[in-house]
Amino acid sequence: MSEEKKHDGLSRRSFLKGVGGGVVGTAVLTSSRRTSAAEQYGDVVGPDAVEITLNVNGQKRTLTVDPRVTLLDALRDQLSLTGSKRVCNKGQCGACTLICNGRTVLACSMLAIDADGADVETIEGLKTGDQLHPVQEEFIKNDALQCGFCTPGFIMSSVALLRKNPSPSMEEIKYAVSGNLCRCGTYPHVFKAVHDAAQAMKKGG
Amino acid sequence: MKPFQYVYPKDIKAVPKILAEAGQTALLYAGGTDALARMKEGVSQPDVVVNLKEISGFSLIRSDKKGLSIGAGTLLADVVESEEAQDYPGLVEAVKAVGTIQLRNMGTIGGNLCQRPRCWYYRSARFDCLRKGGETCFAIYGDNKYHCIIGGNPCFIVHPSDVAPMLIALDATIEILGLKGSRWVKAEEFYVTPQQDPYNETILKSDEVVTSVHIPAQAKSLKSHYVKFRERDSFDFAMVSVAIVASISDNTLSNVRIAYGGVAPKPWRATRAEKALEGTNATEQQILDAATGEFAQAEPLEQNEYKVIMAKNLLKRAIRELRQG
Repeated sequence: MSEEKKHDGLSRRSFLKGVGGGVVGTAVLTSSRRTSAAEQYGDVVGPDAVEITLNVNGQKRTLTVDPRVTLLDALRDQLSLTGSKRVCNKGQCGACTLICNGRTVLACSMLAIDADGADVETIEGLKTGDQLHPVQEEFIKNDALQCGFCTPGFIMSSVALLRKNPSPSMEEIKYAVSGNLCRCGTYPHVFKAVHDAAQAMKKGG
Repeated sequence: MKPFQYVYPKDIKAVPKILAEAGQTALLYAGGTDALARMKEGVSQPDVVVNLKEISGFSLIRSDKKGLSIGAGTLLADVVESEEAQDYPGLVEAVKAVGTIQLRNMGTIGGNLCQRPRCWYYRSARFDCLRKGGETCFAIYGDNKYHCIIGGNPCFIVHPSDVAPMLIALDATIEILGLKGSRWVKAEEFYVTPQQDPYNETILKSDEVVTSVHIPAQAKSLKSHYVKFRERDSFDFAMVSVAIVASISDNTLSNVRIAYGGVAPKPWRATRAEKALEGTNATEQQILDAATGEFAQAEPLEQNEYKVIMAKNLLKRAIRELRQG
């Protein structure tokens, strides 16, 4: 069966596959490993690295990752975007929360390859020029952090909330950040900061 | 983490074929919130990871006179937000009780049903536990606060799903695709005890994949409700949870269906309690008696006897709130 027949047009996967063998330069090795039956029934990439493109904070970034690399590790290790924190690394703390295609996700719990082509927003992308995002401003004003490790995750969850709901109640604020843990216990300040940010954003138009 | 090949099946029918050929070395991967954690820990070491996320038709919610159909690849967040699901309040409550907002934005309903146990001995590569093919269930003499009180032996996990007990209470069916084609099973029959199979939580064969869930349309008189008790209220797995469906007329309960989470290695259909409550006014005493009967066979471990008491009290709360709702 011809490989090309499986690919209709320029699908993302045909792209992924193309670079998997070519750019990395291990076509011979991989093709012998790829004699697996899986190939007959679908497209296969890996275990060697593949090229992916992420739209990170509005910029197209191309990088080469093993399929096993998490989005969090790709951002931190390859793009030096260390704002998203690696704390529990198993989806139990929320410190790596970022916004992927408009929704908050845990970057530690998803593969970078699955974010290929996605819009990824991290804490680094919130500011406009030198101006911090209102949520960041209010976290500072309200002293909503102690050690600060959980803060980027809290802020991303809060930003996602305020986009959907510009006037959240205190209950809605608490619920929106309920997937983020703060071991310093700064929660009341966080809630207040998000509340104040909502006010500030409304005033700011 | 061990390197793997990542496979994008061309359609859902290709999945059983890939699984059959790859055998034990393949892993189904949708939201990945559970699978990836196991791969990092080394508990699962697949050579082939099958990406189900982009298979067309795998994620959809459809409602008609017969009921509600949910594709296995549907995000939990999409179930919570879908208009169609709102006719099944207990389902929405149960799905919303899963994990966190972030996890529900990533995890799928099929993945929730097929997630592996959270037992810390199972999850740690350092313990060659019974469920992983070893000889010992370390929970028996170890830290067993969160383990099962009924239906255990030789392994004492609890099934962690919030969705599964609710599906059982709603009399849902699960669609499974294998090499031989599709089959439908009752949600209740989807799960097995460790006596039946100590290595797997479900009846899924190695070539099979869950493709959808169907909840039959509920009579207007039927109400559904899910109550989950967590040690940490913001997000956590259930210590005990109760899914209940019943009609209440003149204070009398009928068509009662109850399933527990957090008490057994499978979502626990409480048939004894159902029978005891059917046609009664479900007074506090009657509920207590019904739950006591249900858990008469319970064999709590050293640190989890509290779950027996909690299971009884949570049924009271579930019925009280079902009445109010």
